[in-house]
Amino acid sequence: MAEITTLIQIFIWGLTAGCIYVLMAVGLNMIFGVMKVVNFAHGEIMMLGAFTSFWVYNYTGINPYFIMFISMIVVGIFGVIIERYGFRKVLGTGKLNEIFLSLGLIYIIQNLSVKLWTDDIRKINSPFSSMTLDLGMLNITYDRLIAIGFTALILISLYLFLTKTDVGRALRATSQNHEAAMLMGVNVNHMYMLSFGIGSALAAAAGTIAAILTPFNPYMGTISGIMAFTVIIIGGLGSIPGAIIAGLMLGLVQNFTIFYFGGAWKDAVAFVLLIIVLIIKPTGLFGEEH
Amino acid sequence: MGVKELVRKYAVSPFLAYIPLVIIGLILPLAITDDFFIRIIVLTFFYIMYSSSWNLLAYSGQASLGHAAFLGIGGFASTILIINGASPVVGVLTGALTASLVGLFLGIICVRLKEWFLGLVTFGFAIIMVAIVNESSVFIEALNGALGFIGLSGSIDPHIFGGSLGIFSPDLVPRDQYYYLFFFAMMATILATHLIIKSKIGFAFAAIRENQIEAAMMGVDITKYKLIAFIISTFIAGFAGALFAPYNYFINPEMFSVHNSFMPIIMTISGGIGTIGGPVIGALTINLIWEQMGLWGMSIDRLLILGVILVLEILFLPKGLMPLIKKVINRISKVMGLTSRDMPL
Repeated sequence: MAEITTLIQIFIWGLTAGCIYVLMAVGLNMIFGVMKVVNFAHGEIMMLGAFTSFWVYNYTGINPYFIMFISMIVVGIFGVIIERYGFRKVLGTGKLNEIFLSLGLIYIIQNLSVKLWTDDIRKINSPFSSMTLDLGMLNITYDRLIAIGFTALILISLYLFLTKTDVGRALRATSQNHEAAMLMGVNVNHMYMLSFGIGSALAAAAGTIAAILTPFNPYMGTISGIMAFTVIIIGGLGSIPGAIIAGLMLGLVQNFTIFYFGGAWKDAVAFVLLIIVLIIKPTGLFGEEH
Repeated sequence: MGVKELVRKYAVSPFLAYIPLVIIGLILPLAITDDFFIRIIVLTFFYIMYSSSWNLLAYSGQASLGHAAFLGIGGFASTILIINGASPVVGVLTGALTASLVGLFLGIICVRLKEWFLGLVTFGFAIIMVAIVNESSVFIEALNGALGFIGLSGSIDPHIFGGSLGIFSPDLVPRDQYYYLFFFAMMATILATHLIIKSKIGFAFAAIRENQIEAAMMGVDITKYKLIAFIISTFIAGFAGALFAPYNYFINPEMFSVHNSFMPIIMTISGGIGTIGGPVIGALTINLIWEQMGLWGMSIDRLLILGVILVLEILFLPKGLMPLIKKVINRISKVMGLTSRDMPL
């Protein structure tokens, strides 16, 4: 049996890894809710978020936690463009076309990034990187605590936006019923762009946090994107509370798996979990029957 | 007698139209001495088999994003058997059967799932396979024991099929043995997919793909036919993998890679998804483009271009090259006095 402090340490790591999954999965879930489209290239958008933050940080040197918001705006706009000129064109032509389009986007975005920026390992150095919260036997870096704090902050703002503003209500209306929303005067096409923009911005935040916590290169996104997808299926497609719980759960399970079985099983365990959940409850833990 | 009458008289079966292609295929290695060219053709044959297997599953409405899992299972199972003394025929068939069995297992999980769920589970399954193969000492021992390799990769005797397959004369050089092996395997695959798609099973696949609820109302057993699609498709993928590993002289967990799962998808879409000729045309064009770009020394760029091709196809040419080719063939057959119905594509 491992020492209790080690277990707490792994718990914190799992929680921060989970925060990244949560941000990714909530964004993916929003896009799915509104457009009924699943973007397999969500991880590449996250990687673009990490690179945007990295380059802004490299040239200006301002606090990366502030840059995160710049990155969210830039990548959010990029998401809107992808929606407008990519996914909008294949909407309604069959689910398979959407899947294949996002596969193509993975290849384009990933390899273009390698071409532009090489596949060197990079890292964003946060000003807090050397500071740790000293709790006697336990050391927790401030960056991990800030990551958890920022995730909570972003999720609360998103919640307030969706429930308290007219635009947020229109988004939720579209996600519940396209036709009815359209009849009520909601411009559904604008809602599509908005949902893709918000989803991409959340991915950019996840990418920035990931780039501060761990080294990265253009290949960081693929598995993360697929994991985010796994999270929303485990949590239940369309359920945001489900995505949050499943995201944190997956982060924890993965980190404990690394500790007990070794790093090679990190990704495999997520899919084993997915298959088990799908066998027991095909709609996910918090999903509703469609 | 004019050309029209001649063609009408002798074109008793629409398949006769393919005889010239088959003859070209048979004499190609005799006419060409360039080993590299033959290698590319053999790879094309391999990809035609592999893409056809993916296409058959997609034909039933189930698009796998992790088909490399079955390719790899076929490759590893047969390689382990053969280097431990099994005869190549037994090894290859067992490899394909193993892939098929695993495919049945995955199919049972996937039977209730739609589009992206299915895509994700199959994708994830390939990732699980990498971890299992990399981490299980069973596999490392099985491969090391016979050949003494370090880690999980190593070369395979290129003469593994030499003579002992019993089909070819031992006088034939290994290059040509492999060529004919893949050629006939590819022909068998195309014929099999043709027969399946035109049979009752094929109609059931199409019905399920178009509308599952309506198909069920018409009395199609959804579960049964979805599983049949999985069994046949993964058998062919495993078979292709079992032949590919020894041809490559090399096997490692790269066989399960995302890229290997992606190739049949882009090839089938380029040719035309859901058609028998689609994977053939697609594998031919994409593999030639891919290898040519390799010769030009592109590595990252060719992956990038592959992505651009796929996105452009989805946006502007979602039915692939097949409709264009069909149009050309229809025109030709009109000139020769045949109806387009005579041309099986």
